[in-house]
Amino acid sequence: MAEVPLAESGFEQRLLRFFGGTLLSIAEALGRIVILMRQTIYWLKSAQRRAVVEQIVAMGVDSIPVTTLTALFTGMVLALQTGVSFRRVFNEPIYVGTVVGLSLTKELGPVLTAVVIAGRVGAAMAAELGTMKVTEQIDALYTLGTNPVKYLSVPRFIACLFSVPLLTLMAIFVGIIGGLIIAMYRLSIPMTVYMNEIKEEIGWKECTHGIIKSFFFAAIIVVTSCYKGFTCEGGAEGVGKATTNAVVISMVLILVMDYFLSAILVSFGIG
Amino acid sequence: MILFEDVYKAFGRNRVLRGCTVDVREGETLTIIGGSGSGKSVTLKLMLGLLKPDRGRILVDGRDITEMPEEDLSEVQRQFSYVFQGGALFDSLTVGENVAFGLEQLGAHPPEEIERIVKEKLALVGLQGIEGLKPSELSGGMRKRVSIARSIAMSPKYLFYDEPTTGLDPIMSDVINDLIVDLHRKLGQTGVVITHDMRSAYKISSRIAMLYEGKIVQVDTPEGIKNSSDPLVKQFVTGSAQGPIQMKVRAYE
Repeated sequence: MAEVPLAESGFEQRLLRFFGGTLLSIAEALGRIVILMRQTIYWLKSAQRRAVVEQIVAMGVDSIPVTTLTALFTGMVLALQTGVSFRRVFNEPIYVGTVVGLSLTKELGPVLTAVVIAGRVGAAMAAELGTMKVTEQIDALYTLGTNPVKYLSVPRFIACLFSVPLLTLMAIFVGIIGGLIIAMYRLSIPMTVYMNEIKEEIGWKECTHGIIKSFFFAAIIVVTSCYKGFTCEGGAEGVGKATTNAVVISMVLILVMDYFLSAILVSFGIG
Repeated sequence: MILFEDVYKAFGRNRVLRGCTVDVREGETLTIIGGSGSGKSVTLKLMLGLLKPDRGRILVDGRDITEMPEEDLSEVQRQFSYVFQGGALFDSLTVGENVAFGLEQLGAHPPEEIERIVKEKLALVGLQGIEGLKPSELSGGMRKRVSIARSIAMSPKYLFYDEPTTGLDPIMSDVINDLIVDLHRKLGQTGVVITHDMRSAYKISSRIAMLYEGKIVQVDTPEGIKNSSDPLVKQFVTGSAQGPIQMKVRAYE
């Protein structure tokens, strides 16, 4: 068998080490994320109701104002841009309800809600767990006979998977109302026209499309943030890095997964 | 009994333990001494099953915890309690909730019983009536004592202390030493302490083990360690700047 030639120059060795090291760290991180996910699912049945409710309040209820505000203005700007653009092209602001409804239900509702939750809740989750890690509170849980995944990750996982789809539905509704306000008072479109377009275009398939996505986005946020928190190292600086990484990775994964989920759902005829 | 048999542990290139062997006998308080970065905390975390060794065996009451499935390990860990260097109290909970935490998670006691145990354990460490305070409102010494109360609330068989007197003034250090001795006398638990505070080690230990370069160099009674002829031990216990340990430090530089 032919021998594989070893890299001779220092540059080649450094290059190989760089790519090899990066690949190994990515593989290790993915493996750990899968293990965390598996452990979280394993402990789901023993979730403490009180902790889950507390997390639903912190993640869901407390996120209502920021999600509402974001969705309202997104719906408003979408209606305004659509109306103004279509008036320029067709001399009339047509299809505003259709565009606003479909965009919000299938794309903007789930994605914007997930991005807002990743920024607000994901950051808080990574920072809280990261601080617990560097101050040995996670180790303390072990020594008090409590599995940290069961105690910390499971309630957050359930709360996030429960809250994000509900917040998404709320965001879609609020966004459509925002669009309606602009359609009526800025573009002079009658309410019945706008609402009829929404009713005609948005059925259960479109809603299911958005809600399925929001479940996946919720899982991405909670698993990434918990993973970053649990693996945090190096004091205050480490907590800062873990928090930033949790938010950035969650947001990037949400946007990348959005495309693939859309493609899969459309190919199955959902939405 | 805990038996630590020829244990190796490295973090990357840093070989922390290199064939460490030591035993912790039933009912004694064994203190592991050694310089900063000598692997004392790693030794303790390995005994607790929080870390896995690269090589060697760790037997707790005859059962090897190194290859144990997680559920069996959790069962063994229920016999352990650990007093962390910084206390590791849960910030989001009150002092009372911190002390009650392990018992509540166990789910084997009614709330009134837990409340009674919390009061009793806080009284044992000399801190009555502070159940409602948050850990951020406590001084360093109080945090340590609450951490001890939280540990003994679980009635563990083995109690581990990580640098119990570090960061405390001499008087508070002595209060903690007295507390450890007193608790050992009253509760009869097997204790493992890691420290580099020799005054504390002499006062609380049944035996003292010195860890150096990843190995135990001597295990003896406090008196035996005090009068040791081993140059490494002698230098460490007298706190002398001259001797073989310093030569090693110079070699690193």
